[in-house]
Amino acid sequence: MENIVEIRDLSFSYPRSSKRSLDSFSLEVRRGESVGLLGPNGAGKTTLISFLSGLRPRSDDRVTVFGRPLHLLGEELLKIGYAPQELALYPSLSVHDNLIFFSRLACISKERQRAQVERVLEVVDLTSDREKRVAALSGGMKRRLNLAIALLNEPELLILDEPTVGVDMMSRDLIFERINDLRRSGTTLIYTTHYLEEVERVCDSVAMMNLGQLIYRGRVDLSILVQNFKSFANSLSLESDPDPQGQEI
Amino acid sequence: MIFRTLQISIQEIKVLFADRQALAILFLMPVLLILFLSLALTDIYHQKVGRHFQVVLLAHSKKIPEILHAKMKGYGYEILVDSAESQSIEEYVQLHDPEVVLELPQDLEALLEKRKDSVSTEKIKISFRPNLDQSYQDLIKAQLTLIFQSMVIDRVNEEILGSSDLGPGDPSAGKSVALRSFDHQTQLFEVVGKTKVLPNPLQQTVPAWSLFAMFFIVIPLSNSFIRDRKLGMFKRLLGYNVSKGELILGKVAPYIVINCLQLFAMYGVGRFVMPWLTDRGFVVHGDLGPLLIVTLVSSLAATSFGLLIASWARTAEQATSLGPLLVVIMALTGGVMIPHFVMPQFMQKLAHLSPLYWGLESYFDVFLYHTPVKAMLYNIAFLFGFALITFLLAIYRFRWNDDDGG
Repeated sequence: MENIVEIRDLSFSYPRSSKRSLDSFSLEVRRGESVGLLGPNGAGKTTLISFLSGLRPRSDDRVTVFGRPLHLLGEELLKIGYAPQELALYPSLSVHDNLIFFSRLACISKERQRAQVERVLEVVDLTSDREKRVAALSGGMKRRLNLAIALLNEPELLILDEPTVGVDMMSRDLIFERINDLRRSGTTLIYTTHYLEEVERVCDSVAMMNLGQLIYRGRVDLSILVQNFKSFANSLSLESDPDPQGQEI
Repeated sequence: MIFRTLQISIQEIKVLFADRQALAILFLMPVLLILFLSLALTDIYHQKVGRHFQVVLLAHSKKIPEILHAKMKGYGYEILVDSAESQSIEEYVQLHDPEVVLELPQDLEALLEKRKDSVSTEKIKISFRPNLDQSYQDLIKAQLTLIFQSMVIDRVNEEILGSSDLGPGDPSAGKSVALRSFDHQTQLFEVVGKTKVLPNPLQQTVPAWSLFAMFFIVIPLSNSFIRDRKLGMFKRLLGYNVSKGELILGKVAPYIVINCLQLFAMYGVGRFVMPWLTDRGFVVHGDLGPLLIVTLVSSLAATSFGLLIASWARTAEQATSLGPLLVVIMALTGGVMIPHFVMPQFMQKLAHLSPLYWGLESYFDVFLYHTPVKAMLYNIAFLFGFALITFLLAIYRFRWNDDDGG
């Protein structure tokens, strides 16, 4: 099956930082695959996502999506759906106004806009809250709206950056349910989190990161993941083990 | 490109118009400032520009005030006559609070009316309103001395030359040939060289507070950028194939439009509302073209400054405290709050560091001096230079997100 995302030997440091946020990082994601990007705070997950979402310079040929470097994608970028970790919404505007704005940016034709907005509202169960100002929504509802915006353009690749932060149980279950619906429909998914349980629920495979490096890439198996993370942490503290056990990179 | 930039601009306007406080700061604040400061500063401007004094004459007879009236009119005084018989000068001041009031001694009146040949040592009593500038008090005393001296000389001339056929109110009455050329002081001098036209209170406050309000765009503009950065909005928008240039342009363009609306709203207040409240209207001699150019460049300076604050500040609190503070300092030094022409020389030089000074001078070029666009370029170039430098600094420091990894 073709690779949707290919990252080859990518390194990156933030200005005025001696630490590498990404250190010779490589990753391949196949079409229809659902990859959990797992790692603790500071692992480099969000930095990696920022390359895929276009925030970092797109001219880097080491990152390709749909088989082409990002800067050559043009309007194909609109086939990527992205829900950032922050609630990137306009709080003073209504749910509907937010969705209309992003549907326009996604170049959805006027005729399709209404249908798409209704569809995503239904997907995230916010149809009855469409006229509410975003500021008046609960944390969980905001998260669902954040997800809805990413779904507007029916993306082939969906990138979700910690989409359940600060969400109540009900909203969390709903989000997982919808993500699994998308998986079944063939959407390629990159899902960042630092919770193993979430990876288990919505991902086929996992890419485990720490300190900007890929420390495990393989199937979702709780025991293997725990073992890998522990051995990597040990290798760092003892500085003696060059080949951590159990890696399936 | 244009489509997405436009969508971002429309969205920015929607968000801004949902914030009533920001709109009040941008539109209501300058209107109130123009209204109250124009009224409050009227006296200060009158002290400097086109000053006319109202003088009350308390006299015992009717004839002397008539002669005085004619002479003092030549100096631009506005004369009111009242009787000194019914009230003393002290009583008059207490009751009426006049700007200047004179009480003539009866002896002097008798001398000037040829009823007496000598005058006692009783002096002319004069009272000034306490807030009248000391230099004006000295000037009025000097001018009145000259008037009374000329009246005495007229009287002496009459004695020497014999009675005249002319009446006492006639300015030529009783004058020797030599004195006829000295009607009043202003005929002695011819002003040469350039004289700068000073603005009236409205001509100062309308462009000054419009500029101030334009620079106050720093609050909503910087807050908008900081909010979008914190919310991860930039990350999201960049994912829609929107370039960083389009994004900045889309977000800044509405503020340029709002700056133009601010200027024209203030212009409307000065032109159509203020004449109802003050005796002076907002007299404008300029054309629309130069006005638009100055407004556009002023707006570029204001929005670039807002962008710089947005890129420097990490939080909205930092931006809303630092931005307005700097605007107030620039307004204070730039001649917005205290007119440039009343500043001491050192402050007048310091004003050149403020973009609001160059903006205000450019507006004076348009409103007051009717300067051709070519001649305005000097002031505009400084303003544009400020805009360019702040914009480049803002771009250099600009951060699209607050992440340090994760």
